[in-house]
Amino acid sequence: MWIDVAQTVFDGLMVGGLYATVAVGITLVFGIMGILNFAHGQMVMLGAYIAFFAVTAGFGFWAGLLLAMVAMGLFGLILERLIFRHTLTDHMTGLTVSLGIIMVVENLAAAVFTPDHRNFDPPLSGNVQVLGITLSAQRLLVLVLVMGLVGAFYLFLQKTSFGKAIRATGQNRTGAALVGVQITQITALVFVLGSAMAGAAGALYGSLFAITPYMASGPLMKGFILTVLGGLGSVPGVVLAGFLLGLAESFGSRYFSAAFNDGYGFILMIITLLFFPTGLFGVRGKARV
Amino acid sequence: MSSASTPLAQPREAIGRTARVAAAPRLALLARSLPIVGWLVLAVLILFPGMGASRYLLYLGTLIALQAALATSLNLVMGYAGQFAMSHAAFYGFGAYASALLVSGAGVGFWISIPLTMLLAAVLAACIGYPALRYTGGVHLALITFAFGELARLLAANWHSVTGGPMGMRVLYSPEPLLGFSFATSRGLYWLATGMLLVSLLIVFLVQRSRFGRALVAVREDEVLAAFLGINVVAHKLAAYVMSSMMAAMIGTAYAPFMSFISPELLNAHQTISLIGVLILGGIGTLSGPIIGTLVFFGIPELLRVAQLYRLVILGAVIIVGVLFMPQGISGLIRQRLKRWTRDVGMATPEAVKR
Amino acid sequence: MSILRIENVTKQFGGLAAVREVSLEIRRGELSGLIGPNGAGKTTLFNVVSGFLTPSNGRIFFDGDDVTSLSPHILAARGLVRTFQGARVFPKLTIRESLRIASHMPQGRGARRQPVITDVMQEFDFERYADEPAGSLPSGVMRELGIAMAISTGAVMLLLDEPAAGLSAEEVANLQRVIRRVHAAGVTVWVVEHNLHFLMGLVDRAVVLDAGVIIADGPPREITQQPRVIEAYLGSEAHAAG
Repeated sequence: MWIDVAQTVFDGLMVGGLYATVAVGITLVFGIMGILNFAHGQMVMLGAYIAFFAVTAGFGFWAGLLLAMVAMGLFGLILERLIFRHTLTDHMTGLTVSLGIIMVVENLAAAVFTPDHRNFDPPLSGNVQVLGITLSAQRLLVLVLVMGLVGAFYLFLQKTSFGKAIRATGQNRTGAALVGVQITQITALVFVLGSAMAGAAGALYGSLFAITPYMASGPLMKGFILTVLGGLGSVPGVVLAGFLLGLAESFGSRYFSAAFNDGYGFILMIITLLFFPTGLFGVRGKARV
Repeated sequence: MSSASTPLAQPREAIGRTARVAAAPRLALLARSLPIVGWLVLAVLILFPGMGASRYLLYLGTLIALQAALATSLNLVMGYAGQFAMSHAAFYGFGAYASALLVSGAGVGFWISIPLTMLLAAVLAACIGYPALRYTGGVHLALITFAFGELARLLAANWHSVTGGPMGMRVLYSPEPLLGFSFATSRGLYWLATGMLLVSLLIVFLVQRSRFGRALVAVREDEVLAAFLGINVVAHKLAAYVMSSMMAAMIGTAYAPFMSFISPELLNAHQTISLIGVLILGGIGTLSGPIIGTLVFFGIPELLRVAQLYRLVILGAVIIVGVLFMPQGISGLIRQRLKRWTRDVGMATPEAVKR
Repeated sequence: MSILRIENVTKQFGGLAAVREVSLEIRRGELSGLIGPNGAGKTTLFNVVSGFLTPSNGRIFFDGDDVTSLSPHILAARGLVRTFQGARVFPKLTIRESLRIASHMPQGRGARRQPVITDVMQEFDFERYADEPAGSLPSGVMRELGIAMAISTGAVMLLLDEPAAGLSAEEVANLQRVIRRVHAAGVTVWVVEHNLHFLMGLVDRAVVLDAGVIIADGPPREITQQPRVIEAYLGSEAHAAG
């Protein structure tokens, strides 16, 4: 029985880690720029397609993962430069614009890639035995990778000077500007990082699930839920919330009802909004990075 | 058509000032009569397919009428109250499914199912809106309504026993005759759709002129200031959200017999985003904006046979460009142009007469 | 007879007490001021009284009722209205529209009071600006609009938060005239102001706050002579008036 539990935990952590990888970008952009970027999910979708094409073209999964991150980072930079930079003062405008971006990107993708479901063979196949538990090798790889990505992201924010500048901007934009932080550099960096993470998440999603032009809503929704649960703007909060949600869904599906999977997140979100204004873990709430 | 971007009626004495103007009576006449002309044009647009025989025109007309009504109802919460209700399409779909279930499953008459469905929608909207609206800033509502929309869609797609699952639900009934008038034909359904459009317009028109409507504008412009002026901000936002969701559900009840088929995709957030695009195109916060936007977006490409996907790409580009550069939309541009003409002529502000 | 009674109110932010055990009464019809150096807690006190913040301790009574945790819109409905520093108005709406919105209460069902000035537009001399967007008005006029809106809601007591900040001498004189007019119509006014000159000629009574505590309370001439008050102001930029 505990094997069951262990497997459920493993699955929950993996899925939660995936969600968190998507969500860190959303919460960071929101905390620093005040913009809720609905188009973030599109980066995940495009990342998945990039990985798909890289694999089918023979470059392999790792090249695809890297390419997805770089390409999406670049795409994020372009979006920030051209569009989001101009919406810093009016946050709801940023949200509205991101809706427009969804329409453009998603429907172009559908036109170019066609709506057919795509799949590619993941780099690892089969199962491995860990402590007597049978785990899918690819899922284990994904778990390791998301832990690594999220960990690296966190370390970047904590240890590097760029990271510190980002956190300072999140806490107090004017104060940060006064000590010489270039706000425009920060917003660009934040977008690039968040988008790159989303691209990576996309490549990982693609290695496990089917790829379609419309796959963005699922990860986007999870990203939003985590952003609320973790406290709008809090990266550590989002990561913790990710694992929490992943475990909740995993255990809920296994022992309760699989069909209701997406409902858990929604319920958690409503409870959080009703009773925990600063998120489940947030103490200071908004813009704590 | 009264195209007020800020919906406050002018006091009567301002009209007296126009008597001072001697120059360019034609432009003055134009500005003065624009609302009436607008209503006439709308009447013609509505009557035209209704009188004609073309089934295609009736089909197109019904579709456009439903979409315009949806856009008008979304305008109430987004344009006047300034709130992001991403669940609008979900309530549209809810209206379709709920009334279909009531009629096919419970044997309720179509006309009774409308208020019943609206009531259910109101309860649902209150439950969803309340947690989200207690916070300032629009983000919380956008998030929670988006989540609700997605959840509703997934429910519709997965609850096979009730909704027929991803394959959707067949609708085999038509509205019963009312007052001796048959609504079972395409023409009848067209009148039903335009009726709902007119009802939606009426509701928004009345709100626009009411104390409630003015308070909504205050809430949209500056929530905190509105609160300090004595306006219960949460109550107003909630009321606007519930009202517009009820209207969406009402319009959804007409969709079911019209298309004879309901799919979970109806509740897709993308439908709501399309509506937002239409609002931005036509002009947010005006009475004519949603209709102009719908006509431009749906009518023209339909007649030119532009492929669906590219049409949406263009709409997305419209949203981006529109929000950044032309926030008042087509309707707002027209008003601005008129204002400039009449101002050049030295006339007192046309708002006095146009609202 | 007191219209506003603040009883032992404390407001803490984390470990810092911005307002500490403040107790005072404002009598109906008074025109009084709240002064103190930067960071003294004046705006925090206003925020607590107007319902924007809830006090960590203590109670607030308005017109005899305990209004301690009530939200701003309820207080405004009862007649206690606060304006904001720097002229908070609806920038895209015209004066006419803004006043129409603000007068929603007296004209609504069960109107409790009429505004003390019935034709605000005329009284404040807004006619020529009536249809301009409020954001394009001169600063002084914007401040007056803020007060006009507050009056239109039927307010019986106004909390004015630094209304004169950043205004020219002429605009300040206009503002003083407006406040006196409003006061003469029967509204109790409590003004937070940094500018001592502005208050000297205006108010009958000044309460001095320093580091969250009341250090003086009395007619302006008297309190500005008090050593404690002078000392409090010497620490920051002082507009010490004789």
